[in-house]
Amino acid sequence: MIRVYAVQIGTVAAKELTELFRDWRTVLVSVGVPLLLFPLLVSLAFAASESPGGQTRVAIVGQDSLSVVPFLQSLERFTLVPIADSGAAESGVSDGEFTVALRFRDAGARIELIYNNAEVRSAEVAAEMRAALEHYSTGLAAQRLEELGLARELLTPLRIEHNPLHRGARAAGTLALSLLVPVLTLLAAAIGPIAAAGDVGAGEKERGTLEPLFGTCASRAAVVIGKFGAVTVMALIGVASFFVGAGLAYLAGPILYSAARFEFALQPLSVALTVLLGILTAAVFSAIELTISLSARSAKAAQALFLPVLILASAAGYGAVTLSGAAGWYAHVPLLNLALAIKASVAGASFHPGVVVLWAVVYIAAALRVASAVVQSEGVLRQR
Amino acid sequence: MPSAAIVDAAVVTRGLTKRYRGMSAPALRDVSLSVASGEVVGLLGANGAGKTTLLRILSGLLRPTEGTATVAGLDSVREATAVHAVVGALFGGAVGLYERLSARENIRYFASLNGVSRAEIPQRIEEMVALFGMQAFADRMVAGFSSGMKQRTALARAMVHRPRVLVLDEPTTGLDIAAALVVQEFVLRCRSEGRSVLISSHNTGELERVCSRVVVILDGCIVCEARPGVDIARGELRELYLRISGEGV
Repeated sequence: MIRVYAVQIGTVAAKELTELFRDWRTVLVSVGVPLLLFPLLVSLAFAASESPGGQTRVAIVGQDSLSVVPFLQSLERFTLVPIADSGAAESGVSDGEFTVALRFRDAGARIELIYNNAEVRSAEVAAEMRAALEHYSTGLAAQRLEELGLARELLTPLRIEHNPLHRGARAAGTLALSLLVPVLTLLAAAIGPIAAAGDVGAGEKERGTLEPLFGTCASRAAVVIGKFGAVTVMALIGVASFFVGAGLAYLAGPILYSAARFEFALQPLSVALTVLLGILTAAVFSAIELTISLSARSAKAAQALFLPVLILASAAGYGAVTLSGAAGWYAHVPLLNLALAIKASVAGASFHPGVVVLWAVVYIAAALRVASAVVQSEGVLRQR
Repeated sequence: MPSAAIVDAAVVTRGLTKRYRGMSAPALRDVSLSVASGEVVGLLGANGAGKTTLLRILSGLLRPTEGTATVAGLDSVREATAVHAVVGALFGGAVGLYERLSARENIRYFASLNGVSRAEIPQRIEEMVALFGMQAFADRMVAGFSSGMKQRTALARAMVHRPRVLVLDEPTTGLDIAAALVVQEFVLRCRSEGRSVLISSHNTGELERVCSRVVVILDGCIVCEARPGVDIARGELRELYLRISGEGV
């Protein structure tokens, strides 16, 4: 009997995969989009970070008597543009002609930093400019103290020593990766099965192919499991494509954009656990989305119902980013537990992996149980 | 003690009633019917009369609210999987095929799910391809098929596991004359081979041609049975139906 079920499940899964790979829309959504999404986003991010003309234009208004302008020129980060009209500084920053403007007052002793706080680039450059000016101001004060015969340490009564737990670029990169991977995994696992689940569930219902299928000797539970298998394969291909795309962007960044390489270090066990959790996450979303699809009246209705799933996936992914030192009971919160476990495994730690894996299996079994109940009901057949 | 005729019957229904959730009137009401081995029985009735519901129950796809249905001696509810093995069903004309598979792949899929052994499947497919004259298009994707080609593929798929009973729901709807003739010839062939067939149609000429008996269903009830050429002259079925249904008034 088990062999008969296994043959039925295998037959359904093989047929579904054959059909899915012959549908260019499904292949595009499951493979093409995830593969290209990350390189595209990275390209856009690099393009956005470059100011028009490739340089940061800073308007200079008024008399500089403390050699601030030569100091800024020496940094070679800003293109300084002296302008005579004081009013033109605000309008220039507002129009985007200048990223920020410096207005010297009181013979250069007071500097007004003009920037557009509604624009990210202007605000970023303002912060950078403020840090540079404060550094210059501190240096100037130290020089004056020395001229007066006083120790420059008077300027720093408190000395702060940095002692991070994780040292080195790789450790910091790994920590950053542990924040990034859960979000990406959950989103990729939620997006990956959408096209396939929509096609093999509601799509098949809409095309009237479920009725003859349920007229065969195949058990309806076997049909559901076979479809689940096919959808999960497509989801895994989607997740893999997403990370291959991310990997390509990572490799291409330094070559195409002269960006500094983001370094990290992962232990083989961490990688293995992360891959296992990624597979489980893809399977969980596949089961949920297949159930939704089989319950929906049409493929269009199924697409609308997938939206809350995507929102939940995003919420769980970002939840894992913001939660630090998550309490043990979070291991029982659906989806968030998977995100937290992935975060921990990337960082080389663990977050109740046994409990999380068990819950994932429970979610899959529960979703498939509901899907089986749906296909057992008479409502699944097309009304004629 | 059932009569010998009923024991020999391929299909027997007793007091079959079906109510759909949310529908006030039952789709079938107390339908009792028997179909002998090798008999071709036509179902004639308006849309919504209950023909498809009856055929779906006989195919083991729906459960009756009351009454029983047996196919080849198997209960359509308790032994639904076994019923699927002895029934070849075709619902909704040419729809229900997988368009991204070839005709051959469609047939293979159903052969496998209906328990035809792996070793036997290629031979059965070739038999079906030859039987329905599909050699020219058997390896093409169904998406580009004409209605006639789809219908032949659907029939081949329904027949691949050698069913004892065929259930055909409006099999010629939407087909051109030549394609409809292929279906009719196929039903006549089944009849000569001793296979039982239940066929629903709105085409009285078609039913007169292929059926040994025609059952008229109105509002879920069997209201009349007639044997073309025996109880009524050929060509009179349409007249009879219009008179009984009142649609001709």
